[in-house]
Amino acid sequence: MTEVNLHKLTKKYGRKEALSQLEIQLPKAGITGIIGPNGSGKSTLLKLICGLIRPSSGSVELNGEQAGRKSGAVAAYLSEEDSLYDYMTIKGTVSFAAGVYPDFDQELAMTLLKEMKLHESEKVKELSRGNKARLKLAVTMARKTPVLCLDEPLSGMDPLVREDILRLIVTHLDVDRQLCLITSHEVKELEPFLDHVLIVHEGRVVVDRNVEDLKEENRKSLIDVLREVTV
Amino acid sequence: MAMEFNDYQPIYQQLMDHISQRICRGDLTPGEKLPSVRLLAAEAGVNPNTVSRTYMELERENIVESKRGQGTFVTTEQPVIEELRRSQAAVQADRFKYSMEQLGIDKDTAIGLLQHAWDEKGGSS
Amino acid sequence: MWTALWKKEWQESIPRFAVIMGILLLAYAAMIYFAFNGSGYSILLGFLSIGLHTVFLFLVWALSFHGEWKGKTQWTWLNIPASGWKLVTSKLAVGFTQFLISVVLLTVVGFWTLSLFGEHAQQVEENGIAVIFDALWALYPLLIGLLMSVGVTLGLGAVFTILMMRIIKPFGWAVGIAVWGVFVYAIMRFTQTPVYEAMFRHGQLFDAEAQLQEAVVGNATFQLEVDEGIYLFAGEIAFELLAIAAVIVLFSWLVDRFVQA
Repeated sequence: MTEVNLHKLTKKYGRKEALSQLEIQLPKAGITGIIGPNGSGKSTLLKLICGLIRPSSGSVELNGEQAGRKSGAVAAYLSEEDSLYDYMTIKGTVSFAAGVYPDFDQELAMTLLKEMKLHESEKVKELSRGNKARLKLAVTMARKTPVLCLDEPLSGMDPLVREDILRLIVTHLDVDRQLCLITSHEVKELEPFLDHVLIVHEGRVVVDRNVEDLKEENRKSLIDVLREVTV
Repeated sequence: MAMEFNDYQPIYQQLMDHISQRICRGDLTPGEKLPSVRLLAAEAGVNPNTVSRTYMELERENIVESKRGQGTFVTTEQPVIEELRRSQAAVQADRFKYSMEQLGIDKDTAIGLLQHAWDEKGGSS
Repeated sequence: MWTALWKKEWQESIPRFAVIMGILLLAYAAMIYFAFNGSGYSILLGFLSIGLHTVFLFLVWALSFHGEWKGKTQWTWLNIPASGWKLVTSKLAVGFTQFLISVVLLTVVGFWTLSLFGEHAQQVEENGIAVIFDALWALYPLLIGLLMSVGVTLGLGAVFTILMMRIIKPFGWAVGIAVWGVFVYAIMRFTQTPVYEAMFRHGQLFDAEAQLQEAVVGNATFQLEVDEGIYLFAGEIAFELLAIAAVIVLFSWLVDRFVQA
């Protein structure tokens, strides 16, 4: 269980404010969706939580500690980009992960890859986009960190890959102990998987609710709620 | 794989209905073990917490029974299943009645239509 | 942890190292060929090879650090829960190891070429080349020290600049180059002060003049003059190592506190 607190969190790129004055306490566990239009600051928020970029002002705290390079032990970041070392093989990627991530579950990683029919001798460079995404996620899940930050894991993936990715998350995430943050455009597809939702719009969090409560109250799909608050 | 969900009902309720229907139909027999939370979550394409809640609510209505460390099982109490079947049917009947009313169809016509559908399309009586 | 990082950096650097070695081996082959013919091109290529070695670390370190961003793997790299010094030193160590391998090869090939050239040269007296050979060999520790010093200074400068690019936007590179320039200049000024002399000019390891005299002894045709004694002091080496260590600590601190992915 991890307490993630954002306090007056502002991030600027040049003069443009990507996030402004966020004051949020994230749920301690479960799956939280971070949705919003392109460029609303979703990805920036994940990068700040993982300590990969630094606030312009305000703070991000993980269990009372400032997010920073050390956050890597607590918060795993899955990039939307091809962040795998492409000169490694699948096996090499997994053993590298086992070498640098404490508590890395190598056996789990290999099992997941086998389930998804990935061959360990294949070079990352030669993998299809979907298989790269599968490998990335398998490695991230096997890190067993208290917080997982998945940046657009579904975007640009075909339905089979999306299915694999979501299945992997629900079967291997410990929803009582781990917090999984997912940004996505595929709101409709993601909705049934969420405990909680943050809707980000123009650098501000405009909705911060339990999804079931939100639904019982509004009797609308998340995508409709999103449309209403981001006009 | 993933189930389709409507927008106006909480997902756990929809899942409850889904499981209830399967029990009534006999897809899930009395005393049968339900899939684990993670497995059903993966199959239905929902959050594991939603499945847990579904099981909890079903247990509260005595439709299922959870045994510590073993999992969740369909009740073996036949009367409970009978009752469930009745209440599910009642819900559907209400919906039918409501739909007919919306169309401005009176009771006799509606029953007539029902009768007709039964005879025409066949089906178990 | 460090071993895994080292392994990764080694794997990443192999294609680059192969290209550099390929180019060098071609140059060496040509060098030896010209030496057999007694052609002066041989010496020219020798100088070029030495020149390449001054920028060797600059190239491999710069490409290694820059490569993380270019390959979009900085998201992975900076998310590794290891202290910055591990990330930094694994890259530096791999590049430095390859540099050492290359320097050893350069030494072997260099001296071999020189002796071959001596045997085959026509205009120059064989004797003269032999003296140059001896002189170079006598001064070898000093020359290698100088090459490393220049190489490391350029290399660390490149790394510093790349880190600054990720700290200050958009003109981090300019800040990096400027700060590094000032830093190197300051160090050089410092080495000329009496304080430095008092502190670090101790533990003479090597006396260039004496070595030279020994090398050319009994050779009346040559008179090599060394104005002042050029010495190599253990204290000075210690100072350089200390400075390098301080810079690595600085890099680690920058990576942990300021660098953004």
